Amino acid sequence: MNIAETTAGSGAVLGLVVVILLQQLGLLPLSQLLPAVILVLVAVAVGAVLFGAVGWYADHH
Amino acid sequence: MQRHGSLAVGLAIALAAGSVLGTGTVGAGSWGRGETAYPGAMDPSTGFSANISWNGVGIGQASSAATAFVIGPGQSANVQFNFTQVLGAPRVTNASLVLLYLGLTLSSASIPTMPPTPAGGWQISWTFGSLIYLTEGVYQLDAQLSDANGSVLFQEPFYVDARAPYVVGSAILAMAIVLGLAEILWIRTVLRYRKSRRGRYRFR
Repeated sequence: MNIAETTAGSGAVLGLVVVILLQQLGLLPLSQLLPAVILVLVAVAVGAVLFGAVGWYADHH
Repeated sequence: MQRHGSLAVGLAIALAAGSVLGTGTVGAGSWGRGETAYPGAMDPSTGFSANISWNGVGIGQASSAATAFVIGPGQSANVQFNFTQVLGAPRVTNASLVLLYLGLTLSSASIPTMPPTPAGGWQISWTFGSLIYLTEGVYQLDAQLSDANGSVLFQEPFYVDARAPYVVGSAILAMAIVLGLAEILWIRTVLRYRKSRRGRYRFR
């Protein structure tokens, strides 16, 4: 496992955490299943790509 | 590394599962006649007109998360159901409040509106209950009036914002904060480790 994969995994978890935090702080409703699932998947993907890119950059520069 | 990642993912899944499965004894129902009338909705298909209020304010005021009614620990809200029906329409026999999360019913509170009448006003004293120590935030509540067959004659969704004590007083919020900080620290540690080992051997 290289740095990019490790940071991407952490980024995915952070994406999920952000969604949960926003809901818990009253900024985001997760009442309906489909919009909530889409939102979570997008957040996880964005977190993984973003932090994966950070890891890849750190590994190659 | 892999063990840490698996642990983090496991904790995240546990958080989400805890949110979904955190069903509690929420919503104590009581009933009585109401006097206040509110401008309400008319459903021509069932010949039904209903007006529902939250502590005297029409629930239409909280139709989005941004305008949700706020409820704190130990607080309760009086939800008033007023309705009228045309003659021959199915009679209302039950008024209920359903709390939804991820499409699932997190809790429900209901009262029998007996005897069935073509018009009436019933009240539910609703509270988020002890669930507030597990989870908080904004949730959708469905106010429903149904008949003896369980068919929903009228339904209107609105939002409530449950606030735990000390802002971070709910378990899920506290765990999410800790997990988020742990992941950030982990990423920082990995990047610093890579930097300190640069030129010697690749990070494995």
